[in-house]
Amino acid sequence: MNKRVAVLLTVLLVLFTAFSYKIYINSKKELKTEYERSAKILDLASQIKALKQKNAKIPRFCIKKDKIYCENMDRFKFYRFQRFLQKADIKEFEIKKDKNVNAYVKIEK
Amino acid sequence: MKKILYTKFFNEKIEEKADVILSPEFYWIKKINAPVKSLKEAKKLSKNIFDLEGEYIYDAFKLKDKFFAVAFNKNIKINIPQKYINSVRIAQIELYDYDCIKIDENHYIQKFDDLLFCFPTPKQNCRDLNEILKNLKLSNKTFNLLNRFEIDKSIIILAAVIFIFVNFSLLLNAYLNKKEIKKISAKTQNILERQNLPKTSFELNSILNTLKTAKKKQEIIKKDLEFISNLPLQKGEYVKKLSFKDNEFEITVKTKRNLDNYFKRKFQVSSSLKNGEYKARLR
Repeated sequence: MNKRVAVLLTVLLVLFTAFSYKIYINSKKELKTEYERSAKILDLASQIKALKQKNAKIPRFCIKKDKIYCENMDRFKFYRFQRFLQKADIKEFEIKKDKNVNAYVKIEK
Repeated sequence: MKKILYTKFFNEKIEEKADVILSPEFYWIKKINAPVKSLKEAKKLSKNIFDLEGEYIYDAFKLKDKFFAVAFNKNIKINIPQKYINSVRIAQIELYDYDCIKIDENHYIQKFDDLLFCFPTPKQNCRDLNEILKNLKLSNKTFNLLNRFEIDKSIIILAAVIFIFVNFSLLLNAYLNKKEIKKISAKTQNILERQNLPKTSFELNSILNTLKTAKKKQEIIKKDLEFISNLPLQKGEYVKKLSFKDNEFEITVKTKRNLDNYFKRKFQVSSSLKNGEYKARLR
């Protein structure tokens, strides 16, 4: 084999290997970036999901229309209503006490 | 380009590129009489045709439908600077068409049984070398004798296997990484689509911040509500009305007392006390 050809061939093979290595390293970096990006996005998504989750359960004795109306509440029902109020995302509410306790709540959508 | 017939008594000083034709004294040559079908086969056979001691370079070539084997000493020395040697050829090929060539007064090349040899005594009617070289059309066959790189075949095979293995594994891993990236990306998009969320982290951050702000607001409302609920009432006193709208509480308490002192601990208060009713707006 000619020396020049041998040297040229070796250089070409080394260059090709370097090229393959660069492709591999780039793909590894891209994979790492994608992992990090994906983990960040999924973390944000799970936080959003948790914040969007509505824990407040409307009491059975209340009626949902444009607002949630809870009327003629006795002590026990009023206790249930207070628990609901603690958990709901309140936009506005009103509690009135005459003979009975009546209330309405408008919650955030 | 200049053409030179290089003999053992060559003493010309060369200072330009030249095609060097080795005279027969620099190589061993044999006609291959065995039935050979291809040049490749002839080359394989050339090693076994000669019974030479020492290190030689073996080769074969085809000339006028005949195969020839040739052997060169590995330590062949040509006293011409390598940079001026354009190619190395042999007289057997380049001067084959001539039966007798006169090199100088004492040296001749003659053909016997298709092989060219150097002789001190000439046959008659020999042509002058310089005359032949002037119009000589060179063949395509050259011999790489000076710039050779000898390496064992097993080493080449091993190096090739390592090269293929290394490159294959690198490229395969790169491919698998790319595939994994696509898989992760698709999985993430799928989750986001299922939750009806936008694809970019910028938009997600914006949504999250809005939700966090809303949550904070709710926490403040709950704390305010708790503060209002803890209003210390005396016997006969009760909250008649409590409402919340546009970040403002309105409270009506059946009492004869002014409750500003209590509410001012947390709110800005605008209040009135009339007919046994305390009314206040709390901000």
